[in-house]
Amino acid sequence: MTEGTRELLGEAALAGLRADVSQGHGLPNMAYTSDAWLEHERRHLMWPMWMLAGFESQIPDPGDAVPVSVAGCPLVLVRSHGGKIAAFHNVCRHRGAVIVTEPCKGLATLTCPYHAWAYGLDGRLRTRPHFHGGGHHDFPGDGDDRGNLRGVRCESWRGMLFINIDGNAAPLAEHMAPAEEHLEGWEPQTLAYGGSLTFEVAANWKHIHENFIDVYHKFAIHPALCEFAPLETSNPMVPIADHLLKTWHVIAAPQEGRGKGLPPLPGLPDALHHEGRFFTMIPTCNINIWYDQIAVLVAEPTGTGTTRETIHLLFAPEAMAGQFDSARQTAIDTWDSLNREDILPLESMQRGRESPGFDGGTLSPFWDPGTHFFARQVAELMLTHEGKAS
Amino acid sequence: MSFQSIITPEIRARLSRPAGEGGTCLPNACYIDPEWLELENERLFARTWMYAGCLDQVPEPGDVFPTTIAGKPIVLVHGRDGEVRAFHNVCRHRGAVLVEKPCNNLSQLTCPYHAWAYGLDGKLRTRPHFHGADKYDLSKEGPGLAAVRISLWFRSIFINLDGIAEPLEDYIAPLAKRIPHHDLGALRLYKTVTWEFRANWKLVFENYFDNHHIATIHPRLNAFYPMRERSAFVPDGNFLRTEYMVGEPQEGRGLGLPYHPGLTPEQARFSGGYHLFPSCCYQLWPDQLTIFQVFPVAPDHTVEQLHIFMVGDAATDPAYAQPAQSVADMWDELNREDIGAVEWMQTGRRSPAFDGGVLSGFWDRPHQHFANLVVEAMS
Repeated sequence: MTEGTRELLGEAALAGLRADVSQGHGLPNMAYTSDAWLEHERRHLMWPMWMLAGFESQIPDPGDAVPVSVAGCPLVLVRSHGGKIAAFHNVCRHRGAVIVTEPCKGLATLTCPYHAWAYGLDGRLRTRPHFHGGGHHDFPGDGDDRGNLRGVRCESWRGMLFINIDGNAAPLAEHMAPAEEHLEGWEPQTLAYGGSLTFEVAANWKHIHENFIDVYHKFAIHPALCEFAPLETSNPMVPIADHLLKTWHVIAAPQEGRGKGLPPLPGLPDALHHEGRFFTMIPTCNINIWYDQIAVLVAEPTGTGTTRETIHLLFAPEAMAGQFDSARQTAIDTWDSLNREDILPLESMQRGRESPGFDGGTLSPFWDPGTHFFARQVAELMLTHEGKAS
Repeated sequence: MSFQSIITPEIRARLSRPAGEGGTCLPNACYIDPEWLELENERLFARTWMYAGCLDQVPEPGDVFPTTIAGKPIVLVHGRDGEVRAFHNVCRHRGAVLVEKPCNNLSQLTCPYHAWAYGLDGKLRTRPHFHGADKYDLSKEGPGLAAVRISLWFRSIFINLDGIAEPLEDYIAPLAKRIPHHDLGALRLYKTVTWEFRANWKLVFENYFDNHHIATIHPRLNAFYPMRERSAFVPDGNFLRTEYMVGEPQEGRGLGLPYHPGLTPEQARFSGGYHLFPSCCYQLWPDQLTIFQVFPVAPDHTVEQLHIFMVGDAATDPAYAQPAQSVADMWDELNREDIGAVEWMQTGRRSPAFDGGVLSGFWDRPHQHFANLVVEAMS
């Protein structure tokens, strides 16, 4: 890894990112197609920042564990017997096999399926069966931490679990403070986890975020969403911090799956009953708030041109009652069809990034400052972290 | 990434420390970096003897068998003169692959693209329309197929791409010495079974010479030969071995099939598992020999083939169909049990928290030896 962000990007591309939106352009094709750039993004954009890993409500009870992949790293979120939540690198210290391969409940230990090394829910190595030969087991003593699972810094913001892989980020509360100003009165930690949808998209992870930031496309791609909240009463995304953007729209006509059939989120200010609020958190997730649901969209790169997109849905706790089963399913189905409308455009943008005739785009000064900001900040944040690392 | 940026002095130091005393295996990049795999093709697989097939795949003159070794298309050809040869399976004209699937009773190798025809000895024969329509070149003076060095051990066919490895006899001697009483010439190919792993080829082999995981992953094998009697594979140069005397035969493991000929009752209970670095594994049981061959497709994608050999007619005689099928089923079950484990290790190689492993001084010495063989061969 000899080339840095600046060398990979080139001076012309960096100038285009730093120019005014009317003169500037987005990231060059290379940033969507190069393996070296993706590896660089993992190390200098994602590992130094707070990345969404899951939700407290996914592991409600002691002994619950859920495996996740964040910025290419296999991790596991665990709730210990004291009720404390911790994150570990989900990889056995012995031969590097993944330990927890599916969501589990009621675990007493984290046991590697390969050679049965057993770790406590606090990550401490407990036993190594047959380690010194058949029938000769090993019980590591206290104080020997060479075989313990490696912990990952994990903090919660309003019930959302974020991890920081390199361990050097500022506290999560500080990171999220600019968003707090726009969420007064909102109590999302009381929300219930309502399930998730997963899509394998043949496009770079940044396209998913850029598409979320892009309010402009909805009139062309999302007819039902446009009836719910027309383009005329929607607003472009604006930056509120160097890693956060926000927008809002007025809800014109509630629909089944969006605003009809489910109880409103508890403690929500009245004003929010009539509007949707959206945040993009670079580089990890997009948060979509409507008054009866919160959807969190996460784009995990699986390759330069492939992304696993997960949409997590949160509802009011009372919405989990049986009488709302079909309304919740309608909300989930609505997200499924909305997201499917986006897949063709996402994949077509990825194919467009193979064209030498595309140069980062000609941007709309009205709609695209957010997209332009996102592209610039991907580069600027990488340059900042790279500077700190070197 | 370059070799030097992956195998740093610090990594070398960890590789040379003993397993159980802070020594580790290879760093993650060796399992996920496409450039590293290219280097392996060039420096590892091309510079040594590689198992390429067996005489049963080209038993008669005119038989032709294409394969891929070190990522390169190769074809084995049984000539009309009885000689078995290996060639780069690529037309000298426009570089099309000549032979795409096994063929029998050929008299020449004809490129499907422009119909250049080569004799089974690799010499160019005809180039239709070469000098213009209907103007054939029949001079036989054009370029022939590029030959690859080939050598046989019993009925196993090995090739050496760079042509300057030690004689096969020397390469194979450590294995030949361990099994002096077994006549591998009496064996015939029963079946080849294929599996796909979403994992690096090295993890497939590392799992093979790991006797430690039998207790957790392979219940039937563990019952056949239990953990407390097992020992680790023993490193021995370019060669890793494990040997034991088997107990009561089971279905798929010694039941209903003829044993290797000419052995004493004691010798007939012998079992050996051998890795011939970096190409294949020979697994000898009283009634069978199996050869594991891996084909790296990508850093995280490997095709594994298991060639099952039985004594003489047992490979082909319908009278043995049922016990023979049990052997294939046993191996299929055993390998399927391993696919998950090997793929877990591949996923783990994406973790910055994995650093080559905390190793058992008892079981993991062969893994570390293998890691050092890789690094030495590529340096």
